Amino acid sequence: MSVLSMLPSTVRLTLPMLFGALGIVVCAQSGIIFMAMEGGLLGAGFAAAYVCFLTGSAVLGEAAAIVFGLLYAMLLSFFINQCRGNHVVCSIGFNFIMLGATTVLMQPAFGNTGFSPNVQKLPLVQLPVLGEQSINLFVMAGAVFAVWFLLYRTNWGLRVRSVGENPAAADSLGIAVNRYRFQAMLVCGVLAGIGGSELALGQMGFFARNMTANMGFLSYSAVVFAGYKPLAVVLTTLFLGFFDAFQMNAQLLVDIPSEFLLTLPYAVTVIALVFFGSRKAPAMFGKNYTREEE
Amino acid sequence: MKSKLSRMQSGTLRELGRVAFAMLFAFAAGAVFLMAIGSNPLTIYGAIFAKAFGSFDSTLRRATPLMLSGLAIAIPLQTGMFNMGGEGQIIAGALTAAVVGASDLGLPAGLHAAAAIAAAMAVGAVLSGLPGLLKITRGANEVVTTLMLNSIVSYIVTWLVLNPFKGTDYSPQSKKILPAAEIPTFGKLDFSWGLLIALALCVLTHLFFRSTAKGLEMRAAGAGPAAARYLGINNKLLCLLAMALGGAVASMGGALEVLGGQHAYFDEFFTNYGFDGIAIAYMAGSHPLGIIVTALIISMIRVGALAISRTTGMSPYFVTMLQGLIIILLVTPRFAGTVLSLVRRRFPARKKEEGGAA
Amino acid sequence: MKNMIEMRDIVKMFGPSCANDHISLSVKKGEIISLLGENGAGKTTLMNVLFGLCRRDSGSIAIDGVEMPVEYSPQTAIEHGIAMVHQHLKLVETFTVAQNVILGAETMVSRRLFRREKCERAVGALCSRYGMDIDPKSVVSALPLGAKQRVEILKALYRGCKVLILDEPTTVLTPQETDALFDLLRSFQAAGMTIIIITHKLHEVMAISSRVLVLRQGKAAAIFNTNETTQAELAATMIGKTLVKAQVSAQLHSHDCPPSVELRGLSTAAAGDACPLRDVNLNLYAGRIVGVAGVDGNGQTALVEVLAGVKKLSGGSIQIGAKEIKKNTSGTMRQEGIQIIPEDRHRQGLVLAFSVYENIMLGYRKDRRFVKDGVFRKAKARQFVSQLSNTFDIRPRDTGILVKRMSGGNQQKVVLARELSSPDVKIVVVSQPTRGLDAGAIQSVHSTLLKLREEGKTILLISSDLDEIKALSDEIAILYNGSIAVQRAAQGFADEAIGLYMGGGKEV
Repeated sequence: MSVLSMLPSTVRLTLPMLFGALGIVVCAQSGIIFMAMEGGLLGAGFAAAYVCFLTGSAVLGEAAAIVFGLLYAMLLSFFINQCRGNHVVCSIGFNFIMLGATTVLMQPAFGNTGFSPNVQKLPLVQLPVLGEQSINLFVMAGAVFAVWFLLYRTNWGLRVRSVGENPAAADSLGIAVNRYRFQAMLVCGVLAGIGGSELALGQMGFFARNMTANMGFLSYSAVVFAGYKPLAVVLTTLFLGFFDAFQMNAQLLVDIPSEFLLTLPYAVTVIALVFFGSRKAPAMFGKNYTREEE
Repeated sequence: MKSKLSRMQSGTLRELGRVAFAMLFAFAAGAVFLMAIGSNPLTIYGAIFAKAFGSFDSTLRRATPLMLSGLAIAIPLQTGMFNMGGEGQIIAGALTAAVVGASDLGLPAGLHAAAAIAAAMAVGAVLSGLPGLLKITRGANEVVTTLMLNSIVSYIVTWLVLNPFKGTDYSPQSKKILPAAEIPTFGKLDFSWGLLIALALCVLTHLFFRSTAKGLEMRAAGAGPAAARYLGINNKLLCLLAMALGGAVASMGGALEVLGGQHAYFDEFFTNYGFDGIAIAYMAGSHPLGIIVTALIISMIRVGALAISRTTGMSPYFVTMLQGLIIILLVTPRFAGTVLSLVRRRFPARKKEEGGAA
Repeated sequence: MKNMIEMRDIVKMFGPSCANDHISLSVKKGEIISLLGENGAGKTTLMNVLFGLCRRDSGSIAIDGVEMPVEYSPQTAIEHGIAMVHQHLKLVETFTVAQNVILGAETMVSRRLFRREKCERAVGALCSRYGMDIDPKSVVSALPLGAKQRVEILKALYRGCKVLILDEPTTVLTPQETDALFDLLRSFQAAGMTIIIITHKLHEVMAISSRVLVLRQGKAAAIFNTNETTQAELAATMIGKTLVKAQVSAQLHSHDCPPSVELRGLSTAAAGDACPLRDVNLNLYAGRIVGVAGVDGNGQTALVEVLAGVKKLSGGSIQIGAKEIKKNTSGTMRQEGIQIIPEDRHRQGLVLAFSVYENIMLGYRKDRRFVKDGVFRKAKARQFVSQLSNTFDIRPRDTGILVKRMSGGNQQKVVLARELSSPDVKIVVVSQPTRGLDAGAIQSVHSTLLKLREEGKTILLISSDLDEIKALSDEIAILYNGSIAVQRAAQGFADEAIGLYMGGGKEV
């Protein structure tokens, strides 16, 4: 069992996480702590599976997931930016709501409280080395490039990053702080949508209750030790995904109880945080901005 | 001192108003959701409240670990630390108490239970102290490390219950505890003396933060760390201490439930108690006495939720949605104001007076 | 010739208090005018209204003849040619100079894409045109304060501003840097720019501006032509009464007595962009005030932190009486009777979310009179705090009030009450004690310090306000680049010499 032979499963498992992590990076650069990825991926996956179930088209499912992601981000943005809510607690609240909503809706939508029926999966491609991968792999490559380009090569990105570092400075230059944060969150919403759709339609071909299983939190950790940068986050996400894949394969080969293997990605996260935990976040990470005169 | 008392009263009233508004709004939004999916809100809510009040002793019983779960968040929060590891700490405490309770230590009744509780608290202190230590020495974000530990602990506990500490072959549970380790219940009622222990702990916590020097230091470490440093306060040590206390308290919750109720450790019993603690703490504004009230409220909702799946076919996860909405509303100070201004902007003629006390 | 700026009857209220009470101001094109006033007089608010950061309640504003709407944004003000350099620099520390200058006006280079080289070239051209020596590629966090201010000015120039507003620009500059700034401003004026300077420094008003509007408590008190008035008249108009400046009764020489505290060779490790201590040697005396002058950022913070025991010494020792201290912890320093009034009362001095009672008790948490077995004896403690509230004239008297709701002066009194009320106080280290306070509060703080001096305490005063240093000190020391450049009797220490040392020079 070589690293190379685990590459296909690593990439497959990492894909949804990477979309989530990219979204979190964009938010972080604007100063928003987006810990609601868990709920975002879950809800997007549900939307994708449901629409695919109704229409039979996986592509329409992915589109529906993106629409869900946009709405999700807009609503979270309302509470965080308009209402000056605490980022962490609002995120946790949204996670609760999505967990509850997707579970409650299982019965009315799919007629089953645990699993949805199998639905059409997204088209697959055969690649050398990487094996059978979902078409979203190409979307991901494009997304990584797009996010990097947006943040570091466009005027929009410069403004978003200034908002995350010193919103008072940006405001005095006529930059609408909350508007750019909102836009950053919209980008994150789109990415969450694709990620959720990839999880339900690209990987599994069905939706299961609570199927994200902490993937949203893992993608958050990946962002923390990528130093909140889009290119580095590819590596850190792959790193975490590797351990997830490893754990699955190892169960067949090694005589260690499955439960211990299941803890691997989480344990690795903790260990990595010990060494990389104090990476610099944008200065206004998690803080809301109000113009002083108000 | 009269002005101080009235200031305290108006402050408390405002807080109560905020919580009431959040709950009402959440229930209203929940009703809209229910109608959208074709269920009758009245039946659902009716079932919830009927069960919650009908089996009030069950409500009280579950309120015990919930109160402590709220304290587990509130205590570290005073120093600015976020303990999200309640889930893991509770089950670790529960299992520890079950194992110690089932072991033949030759201790008389009372002491055996105390030993079990103490062991559970020690385990909990380590589980939350470790992320605390990592934060103050390496800057590791304790939100993420405590969350990760939840999963790690959960898997390990499951394995432990299925292997070395296995009780029966039927469901994942540990051996039954010895009678000497049991905490007595109140006659036929569902709750035990553990409830009183939990209540006492809430009161003690309140007194600690209001009236002791160490408590003042901890609050300063959270509210004004730079000033605290200048005054010779060791912020880092206090943060660590607060985290350890938080974990110990959470684990005590698990222990009390095992010793007073189940008399063994059942996997899957404590799901979401840790996260409920977040809601409980924030609803109470981290006030230890307020936590008693909010724990009761959440417990009522939970107990009621268990009933609805049986009587109405609705998933109990519906209340998870309500809880999420409530805590969001409680940390968004401007929610009512923003909604009102948006309404006014679109309907300038209308003069709606909403009872929001945000 | 019509006026460049015409503000008529501006009113701005913040809750019950009136920051601008029917103020009118007209500024001609190409003139340099000063806005003079104490803290809280309304100068910054007036300019914030002009710049669009703040919405006026009533009154009219016309910029170059164009009437402005009641509510507009800084973006609009910038489009009309107004630029503002704020007192607290608004720069993105992690960006380069070029990025900071371009931010918000990126479309002048390219519509959507951020073209780094083009921006750097444009900014570089601007620098050379005005003779400013700044590398557009350098990251702002690495620049000294004077250079950062010039980056702010570059931002204004880049947008082709016609009116430049500067808010207290010289607080962070040495006398020499101030002269350089004024030369720059005069060259801007020659090129046709209109300049408004907000300041509270009388000699600068006389040096640079042709007219001055004096604000007092939100109202326009008077307008003068600077060549027709004196500093004394301006000061009187600014305060509303003749200034009663605290003065030491007689400036005493240090040689009468041995030092009570000797700082020998103090050094600290460099951390971030704060200036470390580099071999600081300083003597303090009982019953004397030693004033440490110097521009902010030359090690003042490190010096206070070392004496507070908050920052470890990497070298040197502190001699207090017979005791030599090398390991300076908070505990050790407080045991020697050192009390600290830190420079940032909001963050380092007080816990804003606590009440007056809680803040004071935090300082007395180990005092056996008020704490028994770790628990507060509330009755005794409350009585003590009430007494302190009376002694130090803290308003309002209610000790349950949250400190964040109090004025700056009263907040400072809470800090003083906590630090200076114990009989064990021997050595007092005060840093920027009157920053942001109004005249009455400043007098109160100064008389407290002088009283301590009478009582024979050892006092170290660190301040970037030279007037304060000169008024209170028996000896003056200058801190430059982490070392004490000179320590000398205050009497006879000329301003020019002081300025020279502050700027890193030496007397011949």
